[in-house]
Amino acid sequence: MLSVWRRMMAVLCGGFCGAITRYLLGMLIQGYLGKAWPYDIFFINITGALVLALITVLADATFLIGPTRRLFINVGFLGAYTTFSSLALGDVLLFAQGAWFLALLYLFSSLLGGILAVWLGDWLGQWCIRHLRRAPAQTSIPLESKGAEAQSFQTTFEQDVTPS
Amino acid sequence: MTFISLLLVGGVGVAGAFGALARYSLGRFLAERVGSRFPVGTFVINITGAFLIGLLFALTGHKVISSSAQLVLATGFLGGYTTFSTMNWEGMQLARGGSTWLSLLYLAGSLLVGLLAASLGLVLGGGL
Repeated sequence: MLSVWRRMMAVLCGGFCGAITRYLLGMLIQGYLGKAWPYDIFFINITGALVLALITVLADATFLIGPTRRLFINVGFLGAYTTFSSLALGDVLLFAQGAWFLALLYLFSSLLGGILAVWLGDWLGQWCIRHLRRAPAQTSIPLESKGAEAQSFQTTFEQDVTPS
Repeated sequence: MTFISLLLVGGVGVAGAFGALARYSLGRFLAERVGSRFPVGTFVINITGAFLIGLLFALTGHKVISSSAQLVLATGFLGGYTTFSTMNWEGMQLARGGSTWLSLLYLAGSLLVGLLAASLGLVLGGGL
């Protein structure tokens, strides 16, 4: 169990970086694509949902991501990077302008895009666990030691990291 | 100009950090009190955040608060407080647990209630 202070700092630091990334990336996207449709928030939310699913799958399998990193990336960074409030306001403003088609497009693409992004991130995570765990184990463990196959993934991964 | 924009970027970051901490604390608090399969924490957080951003937007329109304050409070704090990524992940977890309808209800319901909350904020602030 992590200390309260450590958890708070992980969330604060992640939130700081995530909010700034959203702000700057949002301005960059608006600079290129304009403000007619909320491309910035849409892109940010979809990519954030994808990465969150990927990181959560890796963290659940205790692969590459530990508890502190999980808090920093998932709760802090990606939680602050993606946003629900701007999505709701942006959509209401589109409706208020009478841009019904654009407003509905924003609503449905966010809903479906979010589901698809999470599904794809989950799939990518499972793929990473399968391939990055097994591939090094097959190549790095020599054939002569049969007992080596029984070693935990943890040790095979560490072996592969140290250059031989 | 550059110093002011740098200050604003820092302000958005600090406000976002506290927004994220508020979400984490409130989410844990609600999860402990209201232990249910439905992700009450994220739902409450997103809906209150949507209401507040509508209110802030309307108040900025009436020059009650400056646009810099709106940037820090809305883009920074409320952006960090509310979340889209966790909402979708929780939705998928519900579907995976066999509650496909509850999952759709959660995601579509969050969006619809969120739109209503933001409209309510706008109306209360006199922006619509």
